[in-house]
Amino acid sequence: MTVVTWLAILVLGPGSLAVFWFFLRDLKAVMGERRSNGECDSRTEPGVR
Amino acid sequence: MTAGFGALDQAIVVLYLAGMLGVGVLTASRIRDFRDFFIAGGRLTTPLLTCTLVSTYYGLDVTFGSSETAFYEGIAAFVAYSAPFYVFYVAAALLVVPRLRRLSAISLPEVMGDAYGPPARAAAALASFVYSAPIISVAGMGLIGATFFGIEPWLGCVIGASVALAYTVLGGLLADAMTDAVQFVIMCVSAAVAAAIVLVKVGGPEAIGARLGSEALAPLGTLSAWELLVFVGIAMTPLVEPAFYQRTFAAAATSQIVRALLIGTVLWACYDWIVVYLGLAGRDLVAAGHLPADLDGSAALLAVVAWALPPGLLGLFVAGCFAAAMSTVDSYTLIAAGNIVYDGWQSLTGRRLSDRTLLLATRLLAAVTLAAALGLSLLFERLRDAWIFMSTVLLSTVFWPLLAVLFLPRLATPRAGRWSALVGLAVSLTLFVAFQTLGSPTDDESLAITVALVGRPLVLAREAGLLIALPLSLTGFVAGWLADRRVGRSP
Repeated sequence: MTVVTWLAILVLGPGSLAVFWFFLRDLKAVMGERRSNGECDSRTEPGVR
Repeated sequence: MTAGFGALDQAIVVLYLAGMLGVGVLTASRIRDFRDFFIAGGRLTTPLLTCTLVSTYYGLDVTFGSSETAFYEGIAAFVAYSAPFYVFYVAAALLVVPRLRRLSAISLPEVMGDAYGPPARAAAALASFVYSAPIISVAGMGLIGATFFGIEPWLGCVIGASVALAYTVLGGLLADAMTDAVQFVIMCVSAAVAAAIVLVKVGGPEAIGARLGSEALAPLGTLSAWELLVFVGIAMTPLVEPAFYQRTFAAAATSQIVRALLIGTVLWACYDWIVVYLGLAGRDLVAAGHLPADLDGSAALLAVVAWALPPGLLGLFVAGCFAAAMSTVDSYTLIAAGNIVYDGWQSLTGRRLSDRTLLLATRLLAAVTLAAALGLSLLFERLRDAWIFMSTVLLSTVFWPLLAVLFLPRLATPRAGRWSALVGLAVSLTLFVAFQTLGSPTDDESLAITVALVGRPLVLAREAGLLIALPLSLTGFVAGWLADRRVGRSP
């Protein structure tokens, strides 16, 4: 269980920082783009919505 | 003020609060209509969704509630209470999300309304409001303020809630998600750092178990069979969770929200384990005389980190607790207010409100929601009980109807959904009032009613309400479906 605790610490600490880094990379797109209601992402969602 | 919490720690917390307000101001200019406000225009990507899901769903209810359970029950807090959730997070990601994305709704009650009509939508809006009122996190901010700043609990509640309210009202879900991202990294990193330091100072779970006795590491602890059943039932909440639904509709693509939920599940499991470990360490430190013998379980986590962390890091952890609370308060305040205005008001009056009115009314109701949350928080002694009550109301009202919409649409007839929702809502709220007015206090600070069943006394605890309300809601669904079938309404 001690090993599991260290693993959880290592995943949660550096893992959350990695996710945050990707968030910063996406920030411009999130703040800039605007999708209209019902519009689908054709690259990832063919035929959906 | 807690010893060791100095000017540097206070400055970190104040800086954090100011930063959150800044994000609200920055995002306010992006809001053009209600869709922008409520689902951020449908443009959230995986990293931001991961941040906002993880930090929103895990507030002080989990942070303090799980450590409180671990303080009393040991590792069972993780095995029996947290672990069942992971099955349903994954099920929500793989089974619920793709089906939800095919719908044109933007909120959970709207899904109910589209399938079953306005009464079902209004019932779902009320249930979602009760579930989303950020009862625990608001109360938790008061606890943090009192513990670390020496201010009155109500003042801590008002300061924390006011900051969260300000940026949410300004920037809606986008401000909420952006602040969630910062809050996410603060709460995760601070929890990881605190756990690492406590691990070095106190030792691992095995060492603690050797000192406290093997029952501290027993997978199911001293939990009874009905308590385990309630925990598994509550773990189904992610299938019908308003914040999950809102973020599903706010995602830029289906794949983005599925990935976010799967990554989030791993991070939630790590966070749960760490918080449970810290609660267990609290019990160990009490037994060793390092912490007061009368330490309350809900304060165990704060007491452990205040004992273990040096100045600066303690400030980071307190900011992390504020972050965990505020990320929950802002998100659920937005959902609760949106549900009442967008879903409740429109379905009850039959009038479609303009974007301008929707925005104004939702912003105003957000303040009312926070005031209601503060009032409700006074009714519960144990944090986990409040969480179980809120989940019981939500699950009893929407679980069967939503499952039918998503997986068995042929059964989703108007009366089935309407009767199920109304029966579930009425039974869960009636049970709560009955327990509050007729219940007797139990040893574990809950309330119970004793009824005669076949001549023998049966003790019903308040937390067992789900085991009564959920089957009755299913009965309402079946009865409604049969009624619709009889009058030839079913497709």
